Amino acid sequence: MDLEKLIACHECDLIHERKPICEGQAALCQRCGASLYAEKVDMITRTLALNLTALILYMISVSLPFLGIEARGIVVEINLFQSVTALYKLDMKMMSIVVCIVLLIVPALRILGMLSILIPLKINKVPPHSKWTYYIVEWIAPWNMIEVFLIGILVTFVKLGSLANILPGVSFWAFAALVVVIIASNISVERHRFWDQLEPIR
Amino acid sequence: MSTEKEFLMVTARDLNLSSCHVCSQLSPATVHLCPRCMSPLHLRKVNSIQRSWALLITAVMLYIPAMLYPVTSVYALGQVEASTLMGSVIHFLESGSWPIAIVIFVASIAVPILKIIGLGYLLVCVQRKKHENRLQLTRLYRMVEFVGRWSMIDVFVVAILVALVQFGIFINIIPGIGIMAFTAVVIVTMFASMQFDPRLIWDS
Repeated sequence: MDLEKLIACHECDLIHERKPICEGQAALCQRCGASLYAEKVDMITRTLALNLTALILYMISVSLPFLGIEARGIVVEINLFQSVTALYKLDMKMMSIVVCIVLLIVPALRILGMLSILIPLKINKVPPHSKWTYYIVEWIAPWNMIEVFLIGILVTFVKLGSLANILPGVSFWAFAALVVVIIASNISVERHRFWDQLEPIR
Repeated sequence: MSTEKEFLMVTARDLNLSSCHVCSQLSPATVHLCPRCMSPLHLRKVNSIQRSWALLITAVMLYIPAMLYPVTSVYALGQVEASTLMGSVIHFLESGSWPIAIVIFVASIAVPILKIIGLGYLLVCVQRKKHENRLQLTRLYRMVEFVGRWSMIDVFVVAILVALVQFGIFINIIPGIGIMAFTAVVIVTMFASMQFDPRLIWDS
């Protein structure tokens, strides 16, 4: 039996035969409908482009003022780091560590990890660290919560709206764009086919 | 036709093959490390049901202080006003911003409760080997997996509020025990649903 020609559904374990599919199509499990594998259009190039964009936006997001609050004529500006350090100073250490991980560390690791694989792949080299790097990138993916954070900011706008004026800073817009770019880069890559790139099925 | 269908419904377990969680490569069940990506191989996630139950019960216990203790205490003009999760929903409803009230209610109250009930139901069904509506159970599992992260909204709201207001203009907002317990609930339920193996639904 040729194991490389078979694939098991990761949700119901049904065995399927791998068949080549066209670009833009996905193979679904015939029993539970989960996606078995998909052929993305220009997977490596697009994901590389989106991750490079994300890197730039991330650097802008963390370095420039994020939100300003104006009350009685005084404007106070904070950046993204301060939403973590403020909690830490108030002795909410556990919470500040969690927010730091899901907001700052995981997105950064994902972007850098993907770039460290994608740039060599683009010039047709498979870097030796690619397997464990991609393993980590996939493992931390559910903990990337920047889109949830964006909704949190919107709720805060309304919550403080009656007390003070909130002024979105430069990096707020960069952050909003970062959310879109990161979602796009998650869609542009497909796990199974990406593993095939790292070690092609013979 | 029926014989063909039975022929098609072969699972990896029937063939004694384990499918890699990470890269989907199939290997014989006697192999313990995936030859392609070097991650450990199992037929099913190890102790999936026990671990899910343990984390789920932890989440239920943490949810009680999360609901009862204040999420934030606002110090303004010499007065202290503490509000719980449910309290802030009611506050928004009364002040007329019901879209935000709905967002907070869904994210912080409805989603965690439904997630806990949903995962508990999945575990009970798998343990009692109820297999009538497997497709619905799989859909329930997908929903539980998808929806969990959105409960973090309230945690982030507190984080931003505290950071914005800390530089004390005229009010001061201190996070309470409630939000810490709530953060733990979200994380623990996420781990619980990760431990659950959806393939158990289909095993007969």
